[in-house]
Amino acid sequence: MLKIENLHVTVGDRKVLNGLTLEVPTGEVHAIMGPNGSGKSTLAYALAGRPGYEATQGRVLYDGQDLLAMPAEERARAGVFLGFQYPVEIPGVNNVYLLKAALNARRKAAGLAEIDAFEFLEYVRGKMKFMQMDESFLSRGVNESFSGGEKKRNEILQMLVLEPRLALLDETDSGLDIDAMKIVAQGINSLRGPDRSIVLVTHYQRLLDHVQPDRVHVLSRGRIVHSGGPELALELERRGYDWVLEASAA
Amino acid sequence: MSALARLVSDHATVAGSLPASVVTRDGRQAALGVVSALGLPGGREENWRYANLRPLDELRFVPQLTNNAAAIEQARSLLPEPLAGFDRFVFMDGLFAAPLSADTGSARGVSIDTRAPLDAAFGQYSTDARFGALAVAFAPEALSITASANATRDIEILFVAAREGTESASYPAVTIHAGEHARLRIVERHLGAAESATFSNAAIDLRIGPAAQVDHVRVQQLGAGAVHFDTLRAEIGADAGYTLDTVALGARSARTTLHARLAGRGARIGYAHSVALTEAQVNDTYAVIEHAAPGTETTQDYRGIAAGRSSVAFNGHIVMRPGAAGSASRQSLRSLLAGPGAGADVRPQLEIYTDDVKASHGATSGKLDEHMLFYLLSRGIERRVGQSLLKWAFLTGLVARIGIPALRTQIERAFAQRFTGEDAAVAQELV
Repeated sequence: MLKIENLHVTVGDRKVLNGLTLEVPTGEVHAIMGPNGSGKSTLAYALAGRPGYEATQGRVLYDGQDLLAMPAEERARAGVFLGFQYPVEIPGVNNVYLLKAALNARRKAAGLAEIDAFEFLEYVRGKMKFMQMDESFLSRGVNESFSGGEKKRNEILQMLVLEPRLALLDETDSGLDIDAMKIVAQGINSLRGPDRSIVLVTHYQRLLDHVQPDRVHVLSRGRIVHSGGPELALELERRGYDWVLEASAA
Repeated sequence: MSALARLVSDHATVAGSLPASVVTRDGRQAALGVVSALGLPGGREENWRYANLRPLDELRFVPQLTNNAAAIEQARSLLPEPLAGFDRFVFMDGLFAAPLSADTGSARGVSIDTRAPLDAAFGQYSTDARFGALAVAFAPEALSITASANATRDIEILFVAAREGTESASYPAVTIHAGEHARLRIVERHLGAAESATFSNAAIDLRIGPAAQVDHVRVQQLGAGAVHFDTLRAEIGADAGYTLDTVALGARSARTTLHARLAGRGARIGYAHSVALTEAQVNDTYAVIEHAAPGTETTQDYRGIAAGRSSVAFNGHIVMRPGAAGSASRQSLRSLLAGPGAGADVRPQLEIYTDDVKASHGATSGKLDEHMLFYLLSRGIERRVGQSLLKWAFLTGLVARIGIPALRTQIERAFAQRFTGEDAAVAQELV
């Protein structure tokens, strides 16, 4: 589904990704771990098409398409979803409007008609119930005055509504208490399936207690320096990153 | 003839017909004397740099002293849908229109009088006395709203610039007094459909007693040829709260001069001002909020969007006096340029004379927020739709806090009409 080859990304005048290569097959969940400043969030932003994150070398294929040639909105409509580490607040645009507009944009790209308003509400209510979110969130401004945990839950709600093919979740676990973590993990797990891939960008192992990845990759200085199975996350938790970084430098 | 000389001449013409019961003849002369001594403001004065005072030089606005029944009936069509639970009082060209209004007198502990004598201190503003004094000199009537202790009432005041074909002047004067623990909701609207030039110079004076709460919404939707200046003064007592939500869409040239004084311990003000302009409109505000007692609080938010060749300006001046220990203020002033010839100037100003205060401010002029735009794009929203959404969000963000849903909808509809093209399509969906 996702094939990244020798990706170099510059933010401003800073080179953050330096020849990153990674493949995420369809149906798999991959975790990207690494110390602060290793380039984890930059990878997520670059794949989602954030302006200012410039790919200077390499290529990214998404379902065989050149992802980097697509503007951000086109990537989203093609099924790429970014769950933000710090979701912005947009007072004045309510959640229900955003969800409906986003879903219809995705449907339009897939050649489907706009969803009926009643059907949409039923659909969203079902997802909200699953995420244990109060319906009053629908009429509030996007993320407006939400707590950190509510914002993350809202990101997962959007993901469940949009049912992306490729979900990139950037530090979705940060700022969550243990109960919220379980709900968020439940949301992520519910989306696992043979037609979908999920990339979890995370600093700590604790989310991976609830969402078991198929593969774990360690990112350092803008490159994948080590990969392994789910047991790698536990080892990183136990031993830290230094041993991997030392081994890769040798 | 200069604008000031013309005003003095107009006053001499109408002075004999202005009721001494509202302001004595001497009182009116003294008020005019204030204006004559200081002169009308000019663009060289720092606090008037962005106001457009030219129409006063170019046109002669004739003060209106009488209304007739036919004109009142004609104005009926200009009135917006009533707000449930609010008692409405309508003024046409500054004159009370009883057939369109609720009964005056006293109800639920609140007395309403349209010919009340103006307090001697009315219009004597430390910020800028001139236009307030002009209202005292010319006011043919004065609306007085007095709420006794613990009274509660919702009141809507409509000032309609109704007269077609003449360049009319009106001088609305309003006094609001909320007694201890009183709760008033005041909706003040300035409306006009006429394309012809009108001049309205409104002065409003509020005294908010201990632990009282006044929620005041002002909406200015005057016609395209209107010139509208207003002067507002509020004195806020101990533990009292004053929210002021203002929305400005109309008028060729509009200027607000505001001075709120947090006079009692624990007094609070929340002031939010939203402006949407187009073509060559000018809207300028100079707002001084003075913290004169301990533990007082200000929040001040401004959102101005300028399309076409229009120009928005907001100068938010916060003063922390020596006795204001433990006080806090927060200012968030933002403007958005939406036209190639548009202009904006937002300025937070802080003047602090005591330690132990918190004062934060942020001011931006410019483009749409790139982080917000990327968030929308990342959800598959088209760029031009995302931009329209953010313009809408920018403008309506403050209106969302107005606690009268029907009024909020009316304001949002008015905003939506201001949008064009793709922006309009998005706005219509969101109203």
